[in-house]
Amino acid sequence: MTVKETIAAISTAHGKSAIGVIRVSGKNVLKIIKDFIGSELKPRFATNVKIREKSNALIDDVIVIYYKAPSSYTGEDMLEIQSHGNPITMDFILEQICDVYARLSKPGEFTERAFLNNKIDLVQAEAIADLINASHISASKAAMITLQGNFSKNIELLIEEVLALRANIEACINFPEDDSPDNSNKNNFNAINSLIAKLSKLIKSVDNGIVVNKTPTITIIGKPNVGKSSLANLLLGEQGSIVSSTPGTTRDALHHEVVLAKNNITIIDTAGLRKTSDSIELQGIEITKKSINTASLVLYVVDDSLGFDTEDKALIAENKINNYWVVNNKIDLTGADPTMIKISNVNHFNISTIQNLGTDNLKKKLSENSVPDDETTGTARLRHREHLKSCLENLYMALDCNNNLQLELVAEELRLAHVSLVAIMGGDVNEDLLDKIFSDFCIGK
Amino acid sequence: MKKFDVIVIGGGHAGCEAAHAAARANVSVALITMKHESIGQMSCNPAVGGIGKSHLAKEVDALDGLICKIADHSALQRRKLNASKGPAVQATRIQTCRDTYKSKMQQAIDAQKNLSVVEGMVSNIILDKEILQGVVMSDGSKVFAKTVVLTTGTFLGGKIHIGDKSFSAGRLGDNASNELENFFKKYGFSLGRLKTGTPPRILKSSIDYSLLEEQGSDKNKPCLSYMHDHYGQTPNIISEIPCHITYTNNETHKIIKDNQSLSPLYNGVIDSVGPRYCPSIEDKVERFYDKDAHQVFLEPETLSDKEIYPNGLSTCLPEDVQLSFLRTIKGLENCEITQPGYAIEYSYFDPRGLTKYLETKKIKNLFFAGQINGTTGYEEAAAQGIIAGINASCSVRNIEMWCPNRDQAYIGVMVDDLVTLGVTEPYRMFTSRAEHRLRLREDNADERLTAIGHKLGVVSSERLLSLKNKIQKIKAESKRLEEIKILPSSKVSSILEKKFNLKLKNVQTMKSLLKMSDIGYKDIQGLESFGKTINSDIGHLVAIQERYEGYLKRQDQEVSNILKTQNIKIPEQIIYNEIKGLSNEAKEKLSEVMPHTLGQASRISGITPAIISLLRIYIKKHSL
Repeated sequence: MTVKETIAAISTAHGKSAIGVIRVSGKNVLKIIKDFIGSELKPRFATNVKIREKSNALIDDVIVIYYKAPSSYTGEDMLEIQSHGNPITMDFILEQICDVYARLSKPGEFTERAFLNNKIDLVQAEAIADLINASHISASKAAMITLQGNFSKNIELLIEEVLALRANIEACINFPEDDSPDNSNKNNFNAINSLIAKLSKLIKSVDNGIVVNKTPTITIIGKPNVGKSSLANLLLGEQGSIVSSTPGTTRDALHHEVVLAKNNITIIDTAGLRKTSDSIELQGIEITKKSINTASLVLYVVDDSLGFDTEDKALIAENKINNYWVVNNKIDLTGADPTMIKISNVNHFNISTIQNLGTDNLKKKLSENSVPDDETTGTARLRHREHLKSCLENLYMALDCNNNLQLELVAEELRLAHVSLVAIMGGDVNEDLLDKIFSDFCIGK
Repeated sequence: MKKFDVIVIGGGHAGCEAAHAAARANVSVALITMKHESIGQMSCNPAVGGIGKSHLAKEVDALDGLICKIADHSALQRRKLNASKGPAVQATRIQTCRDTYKSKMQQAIDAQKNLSVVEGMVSNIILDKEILQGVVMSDGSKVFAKTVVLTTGTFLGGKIHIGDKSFSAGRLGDNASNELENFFKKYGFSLGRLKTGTPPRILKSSIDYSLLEEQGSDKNKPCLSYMHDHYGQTPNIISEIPCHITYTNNETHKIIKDNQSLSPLYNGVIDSVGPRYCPSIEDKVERFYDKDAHQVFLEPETLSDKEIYPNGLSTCLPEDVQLSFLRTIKGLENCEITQPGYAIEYSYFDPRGLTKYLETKKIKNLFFAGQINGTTGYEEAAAQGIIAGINASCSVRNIEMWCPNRDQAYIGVMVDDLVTLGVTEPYRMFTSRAEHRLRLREDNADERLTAIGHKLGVVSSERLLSLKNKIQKIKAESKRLEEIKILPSSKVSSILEKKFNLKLKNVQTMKSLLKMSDIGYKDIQGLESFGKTINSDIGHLVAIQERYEGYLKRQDQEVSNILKTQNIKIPEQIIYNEIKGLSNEAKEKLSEVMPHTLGQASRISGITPAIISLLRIYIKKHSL
């Protein structure tokens, strides 16, 4: 694993357009030219190049322009690739570049480099601050919001597994005189292999593009008759143009695509959740559960006159819903204030769909939470892919070291694997490890 | 009028290193302690080293500090831990004679020139218009100095608990220093409370060893100090005494459970946080209720060996309960307690109030080191002590202060963790805290730090020469092994194939064989063409370097790329409130910690890469 200091990004706005531009900046630009194009490029001249898949199938006909350092925007060697504006083509090209030569740029990084290399002046620099801040927030939001619920759950499970294995090995290394856990070579082999299998499967799903929602999805759930459909209609009716309103795969889950704060969003209205033995209803509930898994946000609707009760809590726990807001509907009946409060980090909204109370507040929060349009789902996907691939690399190395009985090197590879996963989901590599060790093992000679 | 360059308050493990280091740097030092006879006292278990801890201790030794040399001189048992696990995580531990350790430490302090010991209790710090002048003693006399290093351990606001008894003390039998605590409270230093515990001590003659497992020294008797294991000196040898191992049982656990409400840990009297890695026996029984037995190490305390330290049985139950649960343990059926176990609560300063040189941000030339910064352990204390001592002397001599980086030393990891993240429990070193663990090894602390120590004036020229000799020998042996070629069809190659299943495809060097995971230096020593080694200890060091070379190269590459940003200094005069685009939360956190570099800033929780970018741009824009 090496640190790639050459950066690449799609620099045109997302969406289907006639032309898209990919920019690359850094030392590896010359290598890319050599490997992709074969001949030298004269600086600042446009050259026509065909980009092919490994199987030699033509992907796109593109124009490339080479800017020699320091006469470029960033002051480094730069390559500009103008392709057709199809997002799939552009993602493919970017992926090829990021596989070997470069890493995905951080938000605002091109401009940052331009400034640090004295290519832009102080006045322009003032603006960078806001730009970097805004786009950083966008990027992390896009990364999180576009994730399918299933994908984040899988990553969380992987982190748990890596952490358990690390805790086991680090306890053996750091507390050899305490009652150490079983840390046989064979155990480690099995544990690492199980991680590799799960991770490979996950990477495959990333490659197939199924971990990110093309458009972020908000799923509305709750017990029967709490006002889920009225809430869906309210969000659809006023908030934007209804792009399509097709029935879902069964009569029980309706998919609506709407535009909210300039972003495409899918709203799924689901069947009510409750304990039942009716087979048709059970089918509907299964479908609801699936749409919970693919949701980027769940709106959990409650009838305020009944309150948020233990059954609601149980439903949320049972379905492992992580990212949800609670909507207390029908405050027209209870007379509660149309407010929003945070209870242990979960937003609770008081609204009435009938009298339109508190709904503006909810819509405002929803649009704030929607995916910003300067970060594409494609880039979010590539970011995850980068982290997962370097994690996989470390796991294979760990397996090697384990075969060679080099425990301290296994530990090092696992630490790096952990760092990569945490980069996707967040967490503290050191503290989480110590927590796990001290809660699992009785340490203290 | 007494006047010095440096005053060190406290004669524990931090204080001794601080005072001795500053004196070696040729400035005049006063070590103020309540009792001369308590200098170098080991208040907890009588051992130095262990995983992570020996790493710190050896770094102190590489800077010519005292802790390793004195531990070697007072060793009752010497062991190498993790001997089968790879050199980067191996550690040395020495059980010491508490009395010998203390008297050797006192001798070293007394013999050092530029260093005077002053007996007494400090009650106040003298400031004149914010400038440090010295200290006031409890008898009203004054001692003046340009710099002060405070190393008062658990003595600030110390309070001991045994059952329902509690009283103010710094250590059993020693007074706490409460007046000084008031000064710091008044000055707005941020104080917190922590607790730690110690087990009852047992009369040796009351223990029946006949059925207990014995644990003696390792055969090759490892030393802690480079002076003894690499530079050719031999430590003072005292007679060895083994440790013994026994276990608690369900009967022990039942007594502890039945009396839980009498333990101040459980009845609400103590609510400060103790270390998770050193739980009391009450905690172990409560949290790991499914375990039928907990291990107890019976460690000798002194050469005269009248007292035994039962490691693993820290408790603050009433004394009679302590005795009754002890007597359920195999070998301890008729034991007598010489000193009951106790818990001690004490005050510490939030170390985020310090710079990485361990100087307080509030008062210039005032340094804090050791347990008052929220750490635990002799080695952790000694490591901070030597840094504070060096930097106090730097301030006097008007030269730039120093602290190693995270990729340079465990000391750097510890100080960075302390001043950046603060503490939530007593801080102890674990090797897992060091992201550069493969580099920061026991075998190379001298290569990492001794030359720097010499430049700072705390390492003698003779010692630097010893290091240079060692490095030169390593290079020579490495070169020698590189020049021995092994041909694919040779006799040696067929032995390699037979013994290690290694098929040579092309010409290899003897040195490159060491890169193979299962071939050690001993193995190649047995090969015919090996020739004559310069020194087999040196040979092992070459083998270690070869083992990690690939990893370290990879890390170097990462480090050098990352370092470019990491090492960018943040100027002290930066005002975070003026930086556009920073959130209020970021402004608050950065202003509180005042990180020295962008790297340190990035380790503060909640500081994102975007914020680091903003800082980098701001620093450059204002050419700070």
